Amino acid sequence: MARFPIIVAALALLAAPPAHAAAAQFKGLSVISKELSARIAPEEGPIELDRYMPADGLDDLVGTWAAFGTEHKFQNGQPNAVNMVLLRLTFAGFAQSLAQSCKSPQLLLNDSFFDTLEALCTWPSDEAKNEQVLTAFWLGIMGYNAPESEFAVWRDFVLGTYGEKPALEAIEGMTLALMLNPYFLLEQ
Amino acid sequence: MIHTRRDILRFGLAGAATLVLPNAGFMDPAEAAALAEDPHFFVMIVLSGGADSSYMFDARPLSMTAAGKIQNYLGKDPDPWAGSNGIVSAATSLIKPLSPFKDRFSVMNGVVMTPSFDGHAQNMNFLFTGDPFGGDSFIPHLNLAETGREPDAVDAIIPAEREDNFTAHNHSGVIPLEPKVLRGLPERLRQLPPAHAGDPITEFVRSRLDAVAQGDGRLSGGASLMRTALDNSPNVHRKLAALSPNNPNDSTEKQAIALIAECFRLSLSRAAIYVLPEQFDVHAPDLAKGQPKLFSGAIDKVAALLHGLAETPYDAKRSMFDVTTVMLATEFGRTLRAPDMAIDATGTNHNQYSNSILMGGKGIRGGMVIGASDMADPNAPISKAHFAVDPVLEKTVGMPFDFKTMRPRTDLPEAFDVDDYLTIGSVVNTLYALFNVPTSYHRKMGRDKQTAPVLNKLLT
Repeated sequence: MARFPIIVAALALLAAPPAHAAAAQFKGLSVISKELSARIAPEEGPIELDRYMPADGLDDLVGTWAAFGTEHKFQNGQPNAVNMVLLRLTFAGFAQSLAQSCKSPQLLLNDSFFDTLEALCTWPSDEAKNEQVLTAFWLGIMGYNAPESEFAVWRDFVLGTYGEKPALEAIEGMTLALMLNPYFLLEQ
Repeated sequence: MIHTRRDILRFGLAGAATLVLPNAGFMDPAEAAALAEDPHFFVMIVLSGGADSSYMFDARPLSMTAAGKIQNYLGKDPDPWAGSNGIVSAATSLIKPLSPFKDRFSVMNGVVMTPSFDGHAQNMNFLFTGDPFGGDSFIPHLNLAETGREPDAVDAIIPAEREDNFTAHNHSGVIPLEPKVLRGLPERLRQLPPAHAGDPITEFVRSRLDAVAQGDGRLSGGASLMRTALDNSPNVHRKLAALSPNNPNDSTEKQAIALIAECFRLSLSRAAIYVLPEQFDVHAPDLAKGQPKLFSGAIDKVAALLHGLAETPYDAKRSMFDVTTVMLATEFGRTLRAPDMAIDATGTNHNQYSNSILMGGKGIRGGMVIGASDMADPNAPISKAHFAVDPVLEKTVGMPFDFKTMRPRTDLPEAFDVDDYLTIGSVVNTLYALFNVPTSYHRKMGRDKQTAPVLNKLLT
């Protein structure tokens, strides 16, 4: 009996307009790594997010190009519960590395982003919460993929949630919240 | 720690759920209990490259080889394989490892694939999607809420690493999940709490997804899917975290069965697609000559998979085989021989007019032989319909099929009309009927044609 409402709800969802018929897919880890590398890493040391995946081949599950004869097809990019779990796990690992870099270098970063992170490492100081620092961090990760209004919402969330938290927790949280943003993850 | 079947029986159903589900404490007990209600899963075993039916359950006598009609590198006459429904096919000695399961699966011979194309991709697409050019695989349809079952987290897993040349995972709910991932993924997931409600980051992300999903563009559509995925992710997170490490010393098949069983028990996946490593595309004579060895290896693996299903408990009362429907298929059969080559040194080409498919397990009446292909012996009459699609008689063609009696017809049609034949459409529709997939999904015999009939007598 307990299943009945779930099934009815699921049927109701199926009856709704098929939102996924023309839905953006995940960019895939390879594309995200390249975008991120261009913004925050030196040329000689690109960011490779797949190193945060716990096993080989799992990056195929979050959107990848597959060749089939002369056809090339993007697959596994449609958001589902499995790739959502994997992306969250991956980004949590990256966010942790970034935060831990305040203690000892974990990632190769370009000068500009290194300066931004250095300022954030003083969190919860006023210097770290400076609009310019937060903007530089946002643009470093997100680039210009999202409208300005998204930055404002994220900034308010970060200042409200991590206002007095230690730097490591704050940087980890703000990074993960940013990387799980649909503007960051979905191809547009 | 190893638990025997006796242990499981001793502790009863509830205890068994805890015993057989590794890290079951990670799961909601109510959910674990619900799993035991009416479990039904699907395993598809794929022979890739187009396997020659004549080396399995649709063999030909040596007299046909002597007459120069068909290659036979086994060099033995086949044995009769008598179906419980009175239809007899001929099976080679290579299928012996499958004999213990004779009553648990039925053989379908003379199954017509896509009449219009003879390429691998088109026929593999046709097998999975009903369209030579691709589309959505039928397997996710078995996991629709419309079937009356609560959908499992993913539609299917593909538990073995293969250089796939087909579109079995052409749906984002069908995911390659290999046993090797168990060496890292569950442990890492246990270290990270699921994205639970109340967690500030989860709530923030959810609010952003809701905001972006408001529009009607592609990004909004994607955000909407992400929102649903995020909501479902804690459940999947817990289930993936509950998977136990495989034993890397076990055979590939054993590891695959262990992973499949766990995914089924955890309601993580409704189905699994197992692609055998053997490549059956034997155009060259040297490759064709290797078929006895090729089939022997493949059939051993299929038997190992079936034994694994039969011996692995689903719960205290049922084996995995009891709760799983199994299908063994390839994209098409093969020609009898290649032109302009000696009969003892010939390869074979593609034949989409006669395929063999095995189906068994839950809901399937085993022990039957359904359908047949023509040219069973050197003197068998050949229809004009056959000549119309294969004028040089290189291929066997399915016999016309009587869907009411489920027996091959003996008449010789004047022209080829797919309505006369047992097709892959009927095979898939039979699965659909078994899983209660709505008839709106059922395949048609062709464009502007009737729905392919369900093989009702194949269902228990």
